[in-house]
Amino acid sequence: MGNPLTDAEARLLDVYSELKALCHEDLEPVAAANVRGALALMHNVVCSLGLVYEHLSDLGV
Amino acid sequence: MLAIVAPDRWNRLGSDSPYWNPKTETLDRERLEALQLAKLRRQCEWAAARSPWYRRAFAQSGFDPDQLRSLSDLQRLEPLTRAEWMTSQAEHPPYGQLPTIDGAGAIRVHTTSGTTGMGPLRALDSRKDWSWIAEMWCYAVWGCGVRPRDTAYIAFGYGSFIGFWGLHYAMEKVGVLNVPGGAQSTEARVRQIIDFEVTVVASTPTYALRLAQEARSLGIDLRESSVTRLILSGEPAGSIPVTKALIEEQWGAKAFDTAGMTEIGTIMVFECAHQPGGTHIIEDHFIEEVLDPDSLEPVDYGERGERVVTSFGRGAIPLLRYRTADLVCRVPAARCSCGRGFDIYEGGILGRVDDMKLVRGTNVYPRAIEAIVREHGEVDEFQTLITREGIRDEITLRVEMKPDWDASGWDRLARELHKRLGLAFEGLNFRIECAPQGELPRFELKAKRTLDRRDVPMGAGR
Repeated sequence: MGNPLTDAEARLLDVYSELKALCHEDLEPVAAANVRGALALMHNVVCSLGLVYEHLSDLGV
Repeated sequence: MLAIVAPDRWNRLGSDSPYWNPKTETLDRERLEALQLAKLRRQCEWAAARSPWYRRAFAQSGFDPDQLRSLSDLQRLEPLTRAEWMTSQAEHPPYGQLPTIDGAGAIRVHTTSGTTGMGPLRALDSRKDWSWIAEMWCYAVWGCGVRPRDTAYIAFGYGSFIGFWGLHYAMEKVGVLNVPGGAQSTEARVRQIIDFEVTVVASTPTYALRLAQEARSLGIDLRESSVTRLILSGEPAGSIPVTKALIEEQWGAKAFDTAGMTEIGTIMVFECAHQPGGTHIIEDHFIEEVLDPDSLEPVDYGERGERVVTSFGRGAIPLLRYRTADLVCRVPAARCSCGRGFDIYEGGILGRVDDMKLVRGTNVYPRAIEAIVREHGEVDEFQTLITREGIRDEITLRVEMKPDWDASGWDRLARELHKRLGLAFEGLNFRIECAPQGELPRFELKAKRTLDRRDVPMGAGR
């Protein structure tokens, strides 16, 4: 929304990006499912803060 | 030995902001629309790339997501109707061509009740979609003052109808202790509300009254209970002032209206703690247009029209310019003192475009009948029956009184209802009948109190 990222927002984006990256890894079911669950929740954060808006069905999310 | 420390649910979320999402709920109009436009472009690109329906619809309208320069450009896209969605579903079962994924890419499917005769609408959702569905309810839950210290009771069947499912997950997300009220009798629900010292109850407005009625029959005064808030949804009555006042009086609690629909999977409006006489639109996640239902031209602030919704939330079923048939009257956000930048539907959902009945040339709105009937607290339940006798339409209000009511007052009440309804509906002559105790149907979900039997063959369905 045109504002510089706060430190907390930058860290939230990092968490989100890392979860997305992990979806491309060959993880055990326990990790693969919970990473996707966490990514779905984190999308609410980055989307509602106006940082990222996208759909994630290609990642199974 | 380790000391047992009680978890401090009260402070888990830290901030006690009045807003679930302060950043977007307080945006000014210019910045809010800039955010909407950015999301709209992305959603249209997604729909064009993944949904066969929208690929074809865009081509037919000459609509290209790359050409979106302002929100008004969206009006170049033909609105989508429920009938078109259902037709697509019938031609390409089971889900039609709107979805961007098939069943294998989704985690849930919910359906409408299918009472329109066209069969149920089937709505697919992904994992992210479900997370978002709960998120929209969080705006309402937090906005009406529910906090982690609360205990919630959701009086809902937890079946294939989407109803309050999203609210259940929202309560968990906020950190509220949640008591799922599925598969229970009304008596059992009342007893659980008391036993668990529930502070927030969610139900349809009709069922809130039904629970209060049941409590009375059990000798329980809900005004003495722990309940401080009711979250209402599923019917327009949550914003009819007299119905809302009746619910608040019988529960001794504040009632907050919300509204949603299966087609978007969640709610799109909620009433904040300031209760401005309407519901805020969650505008960082929806574009809501209000159009004249005949011309499809936008109407001004303060004028009634049909809601047409564009949702950014669902990825599995992108919804662009969907005609809802909901009647609304939009007013500016400044009408409320809560500080949100989200505009308001004054009086909530005012009814359905197709709810209106024409009786002897007079437009009859069920919501307006309810507003008059609910002025009389001695009325327990009611039903409006429209029939055709020869070539003449007749309209009858059937009224069921509370069990402890003094029957000697019937003549006065009948005269009063007849007069008030006649004044409200251009002198239309309502017949007023007293229905025997327990005869009229009670409803757990959406109430159907208007029966139009003019197309029913003689003797059928009686």
